[in-house]
Amino acid sequence: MLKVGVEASDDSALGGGDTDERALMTRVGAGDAQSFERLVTRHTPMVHRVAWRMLGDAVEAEDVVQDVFVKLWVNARDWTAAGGGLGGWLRRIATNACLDRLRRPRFVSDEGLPDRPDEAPQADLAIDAGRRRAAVAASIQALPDRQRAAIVLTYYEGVSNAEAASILGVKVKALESLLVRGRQALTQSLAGKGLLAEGGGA
Amino acid sequence: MSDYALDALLLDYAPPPPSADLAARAVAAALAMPQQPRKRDAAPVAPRPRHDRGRPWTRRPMLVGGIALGLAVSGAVAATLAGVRLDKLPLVEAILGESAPRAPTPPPQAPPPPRAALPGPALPPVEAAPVHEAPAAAPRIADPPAPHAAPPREPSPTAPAPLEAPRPPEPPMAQRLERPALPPPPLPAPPSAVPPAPTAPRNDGAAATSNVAEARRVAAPAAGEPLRVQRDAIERAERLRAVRQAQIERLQRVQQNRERLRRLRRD
Repeated sequence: MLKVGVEASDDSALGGGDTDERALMTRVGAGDAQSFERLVTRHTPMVHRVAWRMLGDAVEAEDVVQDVFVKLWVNARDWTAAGGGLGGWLRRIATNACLDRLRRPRFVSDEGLPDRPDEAPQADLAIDAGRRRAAVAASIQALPDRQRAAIVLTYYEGVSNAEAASILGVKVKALESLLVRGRQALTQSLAGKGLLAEGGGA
Repeated sequence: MSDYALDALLLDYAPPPPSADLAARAVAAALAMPQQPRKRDAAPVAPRPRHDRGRPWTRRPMLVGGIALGLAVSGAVAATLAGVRLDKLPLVEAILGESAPRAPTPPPQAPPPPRAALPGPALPPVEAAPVHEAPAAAPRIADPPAPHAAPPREPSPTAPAPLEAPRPPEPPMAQRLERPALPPPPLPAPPSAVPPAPTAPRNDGAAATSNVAEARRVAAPAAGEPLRVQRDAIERAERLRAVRQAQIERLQRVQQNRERLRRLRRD
């Protein structure tokens, strides 16, 4: 199974490692704000990605980011390195926070956003790309929560099936079943919108 | 279905970059909260999976307790069905032996019997056999004709002739069954403690007693009598007691059968 859109690890980008994270978390547990700020800066993009893909809403995704780091600060003294390290812990907290938000009743406005003329060059191509993105986003958002979480974690975050199953609290077989059903639903949805042929190929 | 086509489309689902001040806001929000003190025996902060089905057994006390209770009850039922008497188990017997009250030590009168005296229920009168005779087989006792009018028992041809004076008439069996239990006979003292006494008349008619304890006491010979004779007397008394017990049980069965017959006739 292909992993698409896996972003570069934030830890590697910022030169962080497990040992460094443990030391930082020890200091955070002692109340060191600077160490905490370093950790937040390092992991914010990853938490934001997960939250945005799960929720499809930038504002809610930022709320989730804040909630996750508040939990990290409050529980820093009890934190111990286990499983996927701090990154895995943050992914787990973010995923669960998103699932909690998805279960709440949400306010949906009937009014559409006003159309504005696009002044960019090759506006027709940009409009096509935007429509395609919107269709893909709508198809992903139409998935059941757990199927969407499984696809976000494994496709976009590059998390192994075992770790994703651990985050979602299911067996690996159940996670694989979620992935298969999610892909089938996505294929049908995108084919219905004319973006994907039924037999294959866009 | 083509994975590549789907994956290419999924690439379009890319998030916008987060706000520039998102990290700063998150830090400010977190620092406004107090940190929790470290818990003793704290598990890792990593939350338990939401659908955790793999908790160890030790964290399920209700389940473990229920299983233990079920095993205990089913074990007791199985033991009952198998006919195991719990009070015959060595451990239970030892505990019961420790907790049972001990009889007061009687004054030294007679040598100790070879077997421990059984605290028997109410027993009908038993004839004291002459101690000089050899132990005879327990006489077979025929079923009594009626439960409420037990005739005086005829002496068995194999049993020795009664040596005592005529006994008072026995009460009906029902009354005998309701007779309160007598206290266990006092334990006789060791032979060394028995004072020297003249040889007791062996076939004394007054030796006829009303229960086994009396029989034992009478059967207890004077000092110097052989131990075998004493043992024989006690065994004879035990046999008589067992025979009488069997007779009582048989009588009860007869009563039950009669009741049943009466009920059937009435119906």
